[in-house]
Amino acid sequence: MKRARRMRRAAAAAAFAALAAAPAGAQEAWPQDAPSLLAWHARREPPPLPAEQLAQRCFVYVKAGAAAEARAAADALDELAPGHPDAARFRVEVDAWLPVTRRRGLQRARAWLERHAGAGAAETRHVRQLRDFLAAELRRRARVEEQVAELRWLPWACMAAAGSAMLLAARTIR
Amino acid sequence: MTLLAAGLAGMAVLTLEILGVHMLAPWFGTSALVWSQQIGIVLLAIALGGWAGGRAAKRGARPRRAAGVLLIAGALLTAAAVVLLPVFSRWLLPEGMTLEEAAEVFTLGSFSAATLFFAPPVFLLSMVAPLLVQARASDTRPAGQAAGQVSAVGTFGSLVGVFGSTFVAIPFVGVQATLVGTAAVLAVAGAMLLGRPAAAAVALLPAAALAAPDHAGAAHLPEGAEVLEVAESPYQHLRVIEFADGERWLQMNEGLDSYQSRQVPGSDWPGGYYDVLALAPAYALHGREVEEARLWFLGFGAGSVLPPCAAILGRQPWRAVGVELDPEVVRLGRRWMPLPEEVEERTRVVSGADARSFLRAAEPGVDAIVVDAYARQFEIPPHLVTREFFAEAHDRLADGGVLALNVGLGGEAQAARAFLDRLRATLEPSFGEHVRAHRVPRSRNWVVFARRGRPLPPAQALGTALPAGTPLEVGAALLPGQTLAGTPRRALSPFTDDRNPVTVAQALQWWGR
Repeated sequence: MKRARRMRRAAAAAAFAALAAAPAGAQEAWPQDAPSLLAWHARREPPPLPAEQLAQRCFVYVKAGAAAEARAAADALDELAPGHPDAARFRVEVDAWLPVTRRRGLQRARAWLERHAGAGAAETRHVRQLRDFLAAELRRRARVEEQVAELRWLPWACMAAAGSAMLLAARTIR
Repeated sequence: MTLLAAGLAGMAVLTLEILGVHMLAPWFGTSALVWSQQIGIVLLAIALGGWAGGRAAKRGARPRRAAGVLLIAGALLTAAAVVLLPVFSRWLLPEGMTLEEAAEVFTLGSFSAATLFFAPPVFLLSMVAPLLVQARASDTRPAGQAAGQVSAVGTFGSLVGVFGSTFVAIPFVGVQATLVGTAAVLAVAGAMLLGRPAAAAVALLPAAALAAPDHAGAAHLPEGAEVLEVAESPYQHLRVIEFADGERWLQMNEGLDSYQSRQVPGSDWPGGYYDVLALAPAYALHGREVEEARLWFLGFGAGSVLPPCAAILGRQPWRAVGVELDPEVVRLGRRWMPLPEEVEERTRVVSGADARSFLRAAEPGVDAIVVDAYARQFEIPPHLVTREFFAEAHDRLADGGVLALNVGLGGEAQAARAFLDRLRATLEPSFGEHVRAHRVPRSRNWVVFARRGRPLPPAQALGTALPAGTPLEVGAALLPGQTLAGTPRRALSPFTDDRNPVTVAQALQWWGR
């Protein structure tokens, strides 16, 4: 829970980049700043690519926060190696970035942990962290929505209270 | 005495209306919706109070006494609002909300709080005028003359309430103290009307409200943060908060998980949209050589976007003008989030000026105009997103110069895209096809760039101009998946000075409709 709370602020501070574990077997040093990312993106090799390279590509996009490119790389990886653990793992992280995709992200994280019980320790830790964060976020959101739903009667109650008080004053004062 | 009472009642009603919004601000913000609700509720209470006051005057034999009772009752309710509104607001707002989740609860909450705490005192105070007319009317002073006198003095009191609240109370006295002071004066006036000066002691009751703890500074405080300073300006409620790692946020109104300015210790790059906005000088200087780059920042805040701009400019000489409407923002920024000395030296900050009117005074030939102006947390001021404003900005830019806008868009991607399309359609008459929007990685924000007279360079070409160490996220924003280029294909009507639904469009967008 504490970890999830820390990550909530991390989400606001765009610190997800530190979380993603590199794919197993990643060889290449990945870009560390914007110029090297853009240069790397421009010289990337055309398909078909082996699964390791696609996973590496997906990882770099995830580190940088490039959601569309990361999803495209994950799709390509899935096409090449259906059910590849890195494709699903990186999709979970991309889903975690924005509130509108977090529910889907949590489902994917749970499915990943069930399906890839034997995955490497770093990858499993990464998905567990994301799952905990997403679960805490969705619990918080559900609590907020529940409270908001309960508040829908409030304006009517306040109008009734204020109206009664004003009516009383209007009748009493003379 | 009756005319003085009429003036005081008029002053109190307008003070409650304006300062009421400031009381609501730390909890519910001051969006156009909050303002509209507050004005609507106060006007309704005035109308009902006037009607009820007329009926009371008809049936009452002692209108002076009744007016005195009403003033005292209004005073006590005003003081009660100072104490109870923060407690009520804290009780009803869920903890840990994000800005995206807040739209509905803020509407419900601000309406409820305004109805409960401001409608009753305004109603009572509005009953006073007809009673005073009745009290003043006599054989020698007909009802029409009495009504005219009471109405004139009451309106004069309202004027004092309007200007006094904005220019005296908020900057020099404080919202709570002003409301309590107003209540105390009303109570004294009520006691005088009752003809019982001893009853003026009741004025001490509102004063007790000053002892109530101030909850507003801690409203919606992000976890792990502590408040460094809270300030109230005529425009907004402000505070600076600091996290354990030294990161500081300047927040306005309801705050939540958003900030107006941000400083990360030991880094030129505050992150998020500030880093992407800093692409403005890189875009502007691409393919051009200038002796000294001229940058304008509209909605300067604490200047968070300047250090990354300076990092991108490197050795290129530059100077900047920052325009910030709220002088209190500039003061807080200088105190708690000072800019690096070499950046401060090249920057002239103009506070208290409206961005659009001040830009008109700019000499043409500006290289980059960066607009990060938000009113009421998530509303871009309508006059800064119109075809006419973009034409004025275009005229101030040098050939190849760039206009950059930060646009915060909550909700679904489709709604965000629709808003961006409308914005790009608004830029098109001045900038043609030279418009590009980049999504800020992992965020709800987009940054829109428009270049005068020249195409925006491709991302790869721009990348070679960025210095080593520019955050990865800036590069990610430039990738095709995060970029919308050109203008929308379908015909969309632009936002104009004459017809500008931007506030409604943004509100619907945040509501996810």
